[in-house]
Order: sequence, then structure tokens, then C-alpha cells
Amino acid sequence: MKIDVSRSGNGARISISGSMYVEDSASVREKLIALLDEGVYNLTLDLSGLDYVDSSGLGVLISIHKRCLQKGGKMTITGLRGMVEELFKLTRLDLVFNVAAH
Amino acid sequence: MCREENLISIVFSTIEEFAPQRNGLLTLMCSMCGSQRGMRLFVAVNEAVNNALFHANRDLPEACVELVAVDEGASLRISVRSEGDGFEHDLRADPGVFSDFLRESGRGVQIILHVVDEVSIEESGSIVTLRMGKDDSQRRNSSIPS
Repeated sequence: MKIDVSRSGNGARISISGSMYVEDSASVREKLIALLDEGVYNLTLDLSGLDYVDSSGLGVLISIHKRCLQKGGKMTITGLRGMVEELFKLTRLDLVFNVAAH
Repeated sequence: MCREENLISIVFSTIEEFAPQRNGLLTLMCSMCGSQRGMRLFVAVNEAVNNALFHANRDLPEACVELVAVDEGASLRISVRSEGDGFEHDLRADPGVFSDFLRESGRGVQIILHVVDEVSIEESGSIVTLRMGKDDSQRRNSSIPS
């Protein structure tokens, strides 16, 4: 898994690519929480390069989404495709997150 | 009637030991079930392994998990066996985890139930068996008469 962060003001675009397994979840969580702690509350997650995410990874995304809302910010998901998109729809998380067309 | 053929047996006790096996398992599943159904089976196996390591064996760090893949002729069967006391699970199609949108955990078993053809959970979760039908071409290729 690879994660790239590009910041702009109080927003950031985070690109996650590869496969996000349980052992990757903690580092994603830490990176995103660090952004929130620095006052970056408007996050756009670009998942166009993500091939797979397991339920622990989905849990991390939900956790960050909740923290964004608590801070008055917003998390947007973009680039859903393939198995990741299927998992979002199956678990109805496409209804939870702000999902934008890529 | 077809003979069963053991394809792979892996024993591990940590996610670090299991991780290097993932690509080989995905390749095996896609080669037998087709890319889409193989990927779905892989999703289920990965969730079952996570449950085994982080829930069933949670209090037993030295305990092992055994993953066995069996070619049943028309389908591929994967069993994931842990040594712990299993884990909490609910086999109803949707016991609310998908409608409790902000819940951060508890989706693993529900994902498994939705992505494979058959699931059985025995001994309180210590044995999870997943079955996925092969795609037609693979079914014809592996029809081994008994």
C-alpha cells in the first residue's frame, strides 16, 4: 500500500493505492489523524489506485469521517472502482461518505 | 462424482507470516473461479484470517491458524481453522451492521456472507469454511473421475 498526501490550506488530498490490509490500517489512521490534529479538516481521499480494502480499513475510514464531522470538516471519497466500490456498496458506506465522481 | 484434491495448506500464527501468502492465494482463486469470483473469495478468506488471528486467537499469541484449500471439482473450498475459542458472529443476512453506518467494526463476517456462495461457521467460529463455484471453463478442466 502507498499513501500520498498533498495539502492545501485546511484541506488535503490523500491518494491511497495498492491494497489496504489490516497491517496497513494503523499507519493510514495515524497519518489522517495527524492531519486533523494540524487543523486540516477537509479531506479528499482518492481511492482510484486502491485495489482492495478489508473491513479494518473501512473501519479506519469511518473513524476519520466521524472525526472530520466533529471538527466541522468533511471527508470526500473519490475514484471508487472495482472490488473497493463493490465493498462500499455492499456495506452501504457509499451512503455514509460523500462520494464524488473521479 | 469427482475426487477432492488438496491444493494448499498453510499454517501461520501472525499476520506477518500470512501476508506473503496472499498473492499466491489470490492467483489460485482467480485461476479457478475467474477473476471476479476469485477476488470475492479472496476478500472472504482475508476477512476469515483476520477474524482468526485478531479475534479467535486474540488471547493466544502463540496459537496457529491453518488455511486449507481443496479443489472439489465444481467448486473451491477454503477452510480457516483457529485454535482459540472462536469469535462473536451473527449469521443473519444483515443483523444491522450495514445500517449502523458509523460503527467502526463488525463488518467482516457480514462481508464474508455476501461475497461467497456458501459459508459455514463451526465450533463458535474456530472453523470457517468458504465455498465458491468455479467458472465453467475451470469446472470442465478439473473434472477428475473417481
